[in-house]
Amino acid sequence: MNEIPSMWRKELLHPLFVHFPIGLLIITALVGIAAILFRNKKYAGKLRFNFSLQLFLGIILFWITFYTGQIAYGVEVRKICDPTVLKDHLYWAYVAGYIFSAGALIELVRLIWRKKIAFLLFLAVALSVGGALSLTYAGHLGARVVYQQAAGVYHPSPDCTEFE
Amino acid sequence: MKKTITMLSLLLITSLGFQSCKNGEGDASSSEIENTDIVPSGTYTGEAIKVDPEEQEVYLKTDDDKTLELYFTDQTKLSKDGETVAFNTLSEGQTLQVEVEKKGKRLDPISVEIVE
Repeated sequence: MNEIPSMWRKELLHPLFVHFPIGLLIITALVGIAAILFRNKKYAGKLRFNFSLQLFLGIILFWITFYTGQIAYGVEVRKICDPTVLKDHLYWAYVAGYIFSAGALIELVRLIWRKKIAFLLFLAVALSVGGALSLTYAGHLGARVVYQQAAGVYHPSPDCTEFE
Repeated sequence: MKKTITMLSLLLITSLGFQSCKNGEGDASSSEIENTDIVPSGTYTGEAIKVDPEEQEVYLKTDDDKTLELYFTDQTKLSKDGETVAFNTLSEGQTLQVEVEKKGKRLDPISVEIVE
C-alpha cells in the first residue's frame, strides 16, 4: 500500500507562500493606477499610502517566496516531464522581482524625499504594472508546472486504499 | 512616519541583500545556463563545463557541440576507473562519458564515467 506523503516537504513551502505576493503585488499595480487616476480626489493620499504599503509588503514576501521556489526547483526539476517550463517560470519570476524591486526603491526615494514629484509616483506605478504583467505570466507558467506536470503533487493509487 | 519608512527600508534592503547573498553562492537556478539541448537516450562524451555541487548538477558540452544539463538523481552512478566515486570528485574541464535516458524533455543521467 502506498503511504500518503507528509505535507512537511521542503518543496511545499513554495505553494505555502506564493499566493501572498501574487495577490498583493497585482493589487498594488491596480491601486497605483487608481492613485494616479484619482490624484485630485480627497482620498488620493490614502490610495498612495495603500500603494506604498502593499508594494513594500509584497516585495518582501516576493523574495521569501522566490527563495522557497529555488528550494522547490531543485526537487521538481528532477521529476517533471518538461523542465523548460520550470526554467521559464523561474526566469519570469526573476524579471517580475527585479521590476517590482526597482519600483519599490523609487517609491522609497519618493517617500524619503517627501517632495511631491508626480514623475516618481508615475514611474513607481509604471514599474508595478510591468512587474504585475511579468508576475502574471510567471504565475501562469507556475500553474502549468503544477496542473500539467503535477509538480509537488502526490498521485493516489487507483483504488485510494492509502486513504482508508 | 519616519520610523515606519526606516523600518520598511530596512526590511526591503534586508530582503534584497538576502537575495544577493543567495545569488552570490552561485546557487541553483540563478546561475543556470539558459540554452541547453535535449538529445535522445544514449551515451554521450564531452567536457564538464559547469559543475554545481549544491544542486548536484553538471553541464556537459558534447563532442557534437550540444550542451546537456544533467541533474543527478539517487539512481545516477558516478564512477572513475571503474570505482564508484562521490559527486565532489567532479570538476569543470573533466571529460565525461554519460549514459542518459530521455523522459519527456528531461534527461536523466543513468551513469557518468569520469574519463580524464
